[in-house]
Formats: sequence, C-alpha cells, structure tokens
Amino acid sequence: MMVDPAHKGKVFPPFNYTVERGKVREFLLAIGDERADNLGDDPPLPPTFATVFAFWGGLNLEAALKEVGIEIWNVLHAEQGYEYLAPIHVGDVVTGQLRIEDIYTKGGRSGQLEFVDLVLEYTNQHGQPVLREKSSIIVRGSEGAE
Amino acid sequence: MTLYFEDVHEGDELPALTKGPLTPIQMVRYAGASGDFNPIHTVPDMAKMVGLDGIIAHGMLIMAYAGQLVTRWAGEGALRQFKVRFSGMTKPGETVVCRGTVTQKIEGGTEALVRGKLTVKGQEDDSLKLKGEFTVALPRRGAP
Repeated sequence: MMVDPAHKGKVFPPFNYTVERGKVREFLLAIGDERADNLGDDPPLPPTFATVFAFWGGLNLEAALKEVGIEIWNVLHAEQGYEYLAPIHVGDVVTGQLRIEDIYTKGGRSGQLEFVDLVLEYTNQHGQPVLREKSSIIVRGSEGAE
Repeated sequence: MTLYFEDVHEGDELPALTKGPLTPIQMVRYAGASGDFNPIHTVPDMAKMVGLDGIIAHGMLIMAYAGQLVTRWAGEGALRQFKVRFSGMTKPGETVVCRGTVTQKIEGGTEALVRGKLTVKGQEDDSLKLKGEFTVALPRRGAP
C-alpha cells in the first residue's frame, strides 16, 4: 500500500473545541497524575492534552486518513512534537486545522517505510496562535507486520 | 516549590518517575479521556488482526507520562517545546520509568530557557519506549 504523494499539502476543514475543566480532570485521572485530586478552577493543561482538542473537537482522524487511503489500524505513531505558543485556559475555544505536511519513504529495519507528517495548528478565540503540533506516522502494510 | 533558572545546571537529572504496571482498563480509560479509540489499544482481536500479540498502550499515554516527568520538575505551564520519538511498544503488565537530564541553559532571550532530554524505558527489560527533548522557561530568582 502506498500513499499518493499528491496528498502532500492537503488541508482538512477546521474544527473547534471548548476547553472544559471536567475533561482536564478526566485526562489527569487517565494518566495517573495526582493533580486530578486538587484542581483549581483554571488548571494548567497537561502537555499532551491537545489530543483531546482533536479527538473531541470533531477532527475525525480516522476519516481524514481514509480520505488519503490510510486505514487507522495500519498506522504506527513514530514521532510527536508540540510547540507551546501561548497559555490555553479553561473556557477558551480553540480552532484547529490539520494539514498533511509531507509524505515520504525512509529505510527501516524491515525495508522501506512510508511516513506521513501531519501538522495541527491551533488558535484561540482571539485568533492568537496557541499551539503547533506535529505528528509523524508510519503506514504499515507494504513492509509486512513485525 | 518553584524551580528557578539559577537552581538548574547542565547535567542535572530530573527526579525519575515510575508508572505502572499498566492495565488494560487504563488503556480503555485513556482511550475515553483522549478520544483516541484506535482499536489496537483496547480490542485484543483487532490487535491480533494487524499482527500484534495483543493490545498495546497508546504511544500518547507514554508521552503523557514523559510530560508529567517534566511538569513535576519544572512546574505547570513551563513547557515551550516537547518532542518525542516512539521506539517500542508498551504492553499491559509493564511498568515504565521516565528519566530526564538537563542539557543546556539558554539566557539572553525574552525568557530564561532550559533544554533537556528524556527517555521512557521498561523497568523489567530496560527496553526503550520513547526518547525525547524538551524546552522549559523558568523564572529567575529576584525577578518581579
């Protein structure tokens, strides 16, 4: 299975997420962070909380990947990075947009591996950039399951 | 307790953080909290269908542990950059250990920055789960 390089640069429709305190607490509980038990009204968000923006904000990653010919269960997460540009508070409405930054192959232990770089950029309700997220995924299939 | 820029030195180690043992319920819980319902993390038959022995933890759950390592040390809201490369899968039953080291102090910009690197490894077999880099902004002693 190959991903068509023509999809490079593809931009998906924007989505919104309203930052909720209860969701922050649920996330902290799920990662076993003791801060969950002693949370103020406007708790700082855990560093990887943006996953919630995407998955609960209506970005259907599964459908987005399918659009470019990738099945989500054939995906391995290779790299993940964040640039924190400004604080995000409970009550903020963040708008995110997903873009396919790059599609390329790279040699791995089991032959050529196919990589897709995804970038997610978020602004807040004032239009201020608050977060930039980059994920590199490996599309399994052509190299055979390990 | 606030961590100040002046208190940090290159080569300093962050207090290690041990997490686990991981349980399938925790993966279900993380799936619900994050909204990442990729079935290879929760449905054993689905994991086997794609050639795995069984369910594996979300890489992002392990990255969340690494994030916790940094925020426990530097304070909430200190992170400016955080990046990891996933190396190995983590299975139910495993306990992982997060470790970090300060690599560089950067002055002169608008913020006093500290860079570091980190790893998360299996406690039992020392297998690498991920390695990464982070940059935090720390307050200066005596600054308003």
